[in-house]
Amino acid sequence: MDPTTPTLGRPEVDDDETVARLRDGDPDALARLFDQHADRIYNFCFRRTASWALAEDATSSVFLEVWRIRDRATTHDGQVLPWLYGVATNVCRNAARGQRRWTALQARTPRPEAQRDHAEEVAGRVDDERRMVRLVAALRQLPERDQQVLSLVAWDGLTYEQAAAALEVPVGTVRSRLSRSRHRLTALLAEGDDHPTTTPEDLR
Amino acid sequence: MTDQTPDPQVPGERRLSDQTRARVRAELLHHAEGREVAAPTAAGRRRWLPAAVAAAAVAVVGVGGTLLVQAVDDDGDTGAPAGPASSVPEAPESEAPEPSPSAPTTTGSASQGPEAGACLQLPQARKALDARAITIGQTTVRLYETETMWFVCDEWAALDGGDPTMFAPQRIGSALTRDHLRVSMNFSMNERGVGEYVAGGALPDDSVTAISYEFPDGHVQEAVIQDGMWAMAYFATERPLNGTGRMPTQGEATVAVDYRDGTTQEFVLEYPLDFCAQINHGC
Repeated sequence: MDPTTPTLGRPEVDDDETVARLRDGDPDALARLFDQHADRIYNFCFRRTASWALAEDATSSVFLEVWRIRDRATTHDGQVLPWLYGVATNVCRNAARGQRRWTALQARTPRPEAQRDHAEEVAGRVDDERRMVRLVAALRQLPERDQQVLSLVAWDGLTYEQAAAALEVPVGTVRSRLSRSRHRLTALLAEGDDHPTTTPEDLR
Repeated sequence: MTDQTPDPQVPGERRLSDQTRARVRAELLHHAEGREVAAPTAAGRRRWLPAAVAAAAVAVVGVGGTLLVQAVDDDGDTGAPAGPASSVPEAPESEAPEPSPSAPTTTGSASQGPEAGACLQLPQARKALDARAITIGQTTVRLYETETMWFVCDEWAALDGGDPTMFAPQRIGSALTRDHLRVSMNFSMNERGVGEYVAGGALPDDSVTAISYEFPDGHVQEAVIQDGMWAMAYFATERPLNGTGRMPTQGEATVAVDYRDGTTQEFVLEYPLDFCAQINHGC
């Protein structure tokens, strides 16, 4: 698997009808959105938290929030994903404090017996998290508005137009922020190679 | 112009496990379908008043709040800034509290440290028309009212440098529902204990005589009711809730509300939906 290529593909369904039903308060519409987009939100959250476990909890929180603010749901060219990413962006930002506290708690309490999993799967997840911690640590040194643009376009696969819709900024703003943040992140990662000391604790 | 700068490699995508997907989906549907309140039942639910509650330092702060203007508008908007695509409130602005002779003051055994005024850092609190508070053990739960709305702020998390915990605003006079009874979970950053489970609010009238929480670990915590306000705080000094040392991923708490006419109304709170009542930070 090429780690730089998203594997989930782009959604091809038209979300307009589902979003209309969601706005009317239809729980089945929420379930449909979850079925279609949960994996994308899961990966989106991982790329903000660098933890698969936290991403799992955050995914649940995102769809709860989607239901709570369903009257504001909207699509862009028939796709609800930009709006979902907007919701997820705020959920992940608000989760930061809880994440820090939870990490501190875990450091003081005995570890429960680890759940058995396939060794290869576990190793893969640990490797993912190690790499993502480094990326997120560098990303967080950018201004927040640049972080959002870079991650939405480069990591989450949104088009410039979709990212602009998600962030409610002009497309030209997305382009300029993206260019600036790409160069800056590349430089930060190069600096980080000289000082590879980032740990999950540093990040959280 | 196309930017040719290569993007850093991010790990490949993964899918939610079937088990997790099924669990989360079921929780979402459960929540969205609004299964809520159980019918009132005859009084007689097991009730246990822990000695800890009796011994707890309970101080009710005088009303006296005459702060300036309405802060929580009629739509229940907290006034916190929201992102363009979501209403999740961001952390309130951290402004230094303005000295005010009419601001509520804490009495009795309530904490007198700099954290005592943590809730007053919330702009909404500083602009409230009325304020009350109940101190239970380590924390003070504060209630702020405008002309039409009220909201609760808990100070416990501010004791170790965090932000106070703000609950969603509610309309004054509304009857108790499951939404009002939801719990906020907060974990300690130091050795004060593992965590805190807190809830509180205004009472619509004087018909409620007791509110009792029974947690998944069997612990029963009575709420303190005084001056038209109630507050519940359970401090887990050993392990949170289910005794595993981990944030619980299942289980439920039951809440019994006793009324003056002898009836009891029961509510079921489920993790995680009803254990994340705060609106200004994560769970």
